[in-house]
Amino acid sequence: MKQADATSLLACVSQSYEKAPAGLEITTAFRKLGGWDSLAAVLLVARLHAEFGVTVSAGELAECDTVQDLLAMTLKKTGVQA
Amino acid sequence: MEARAEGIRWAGMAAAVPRHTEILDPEVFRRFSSATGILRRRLCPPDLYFSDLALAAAERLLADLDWKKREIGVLVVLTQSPDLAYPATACILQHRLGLSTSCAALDINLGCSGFPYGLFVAGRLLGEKKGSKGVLLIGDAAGKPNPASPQPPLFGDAAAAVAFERQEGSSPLFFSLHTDGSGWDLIMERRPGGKPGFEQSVFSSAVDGQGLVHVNTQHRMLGEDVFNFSARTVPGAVREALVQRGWSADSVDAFVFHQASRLINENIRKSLGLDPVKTPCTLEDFGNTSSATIPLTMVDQLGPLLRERHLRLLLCGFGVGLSWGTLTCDVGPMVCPALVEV
Repeated sequence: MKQADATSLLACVSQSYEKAPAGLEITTAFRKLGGWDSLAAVLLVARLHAEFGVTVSAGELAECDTVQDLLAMTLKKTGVQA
Repeated sequence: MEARAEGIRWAGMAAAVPRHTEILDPEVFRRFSSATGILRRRLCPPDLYFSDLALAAAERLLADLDWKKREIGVLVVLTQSPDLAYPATACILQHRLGLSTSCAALDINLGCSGFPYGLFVAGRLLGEKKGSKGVLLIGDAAGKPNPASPQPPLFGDAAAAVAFERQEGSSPLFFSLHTDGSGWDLIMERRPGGKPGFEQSVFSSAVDGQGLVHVNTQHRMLGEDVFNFSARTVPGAVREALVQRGWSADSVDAFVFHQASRLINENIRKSLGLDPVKTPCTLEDFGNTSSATIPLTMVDQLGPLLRERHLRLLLCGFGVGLSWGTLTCDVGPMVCPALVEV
């Protein structure tokens, strides 16, 4: 399993949309961008599991406003200091 | 719960699907099809129901087996698409099939985990006398269009029939059945008058051209947590089943999983390190057919092999409940007609 970082998390989030959104950054409220839907959420959770070995519940994902929040949670789950 | 069922011969199986095929528009559903693996699905027209598919599968199977209807002592119907709230669809199908009134008939309300559960219960009900016969009818019409509640095209319609009889010396069937009701609300559909309440605020209804009422049944599926559940439980359940039998994965001819979605099923396959050749799949042509996915996949993908020779199989259903189960068996050759279209 690889280590999560800003670049890899941004890629995970970006690839979950129908079309990669313009202007997606670490501080972006990714669920508020146009094109985010329930399928995107499932794809993201599956990607996080496959790439970093972490399990993120629907409730936990809903608590992440930004990609930064998601990165912090992913690192915490893998026992790494953010 | 682990159990070993002795003296039950798996005599045959059949599956039935509606003739009508919906092809998913690749322009509209490219991303959906990529995630789920679904390109087409079979859907019941307005006047066709799960019970009709089940009847067709049963009639074909019993004819090919040349079994007398009056000899069937057990009829278990496992579905979440019953004809009515009550009576049980099994009672209606006992009548429609022309079975004896000495036949025990009942419904089981389970979905994706249903096949191992259904076969276990049906086998347990089987009479002790040599030659006692039973039938399991299983499946759903969960994809049938509802004008009041359009759903993503994940589900398809199908039913299957399994015929079994008491025969000492038959290769035992091993079951492992599980439940985690803490996940009851991850996949659910409400019922007017039920719990939790059927909310006016999200209720909608439509009346079709024939004057029939359709309602929004407030179906819900939390995809993220369903994925997590499958990733968390299924590989472990499969490994436990192999240990239970003392089997190596290499010795198994096929692992037939509930066909949930490509995302879920590929994750399971990779977690277990299984060759795709050993994990037959019917998502592309039929979608997720609920409790029918396992028998439908067996008939559609393994039918010729099942007719000709012995197969060592590990079957695993998982989903709504949350509920999951495995069945390991050495079966075949058996009667297994080609897919029935209704």
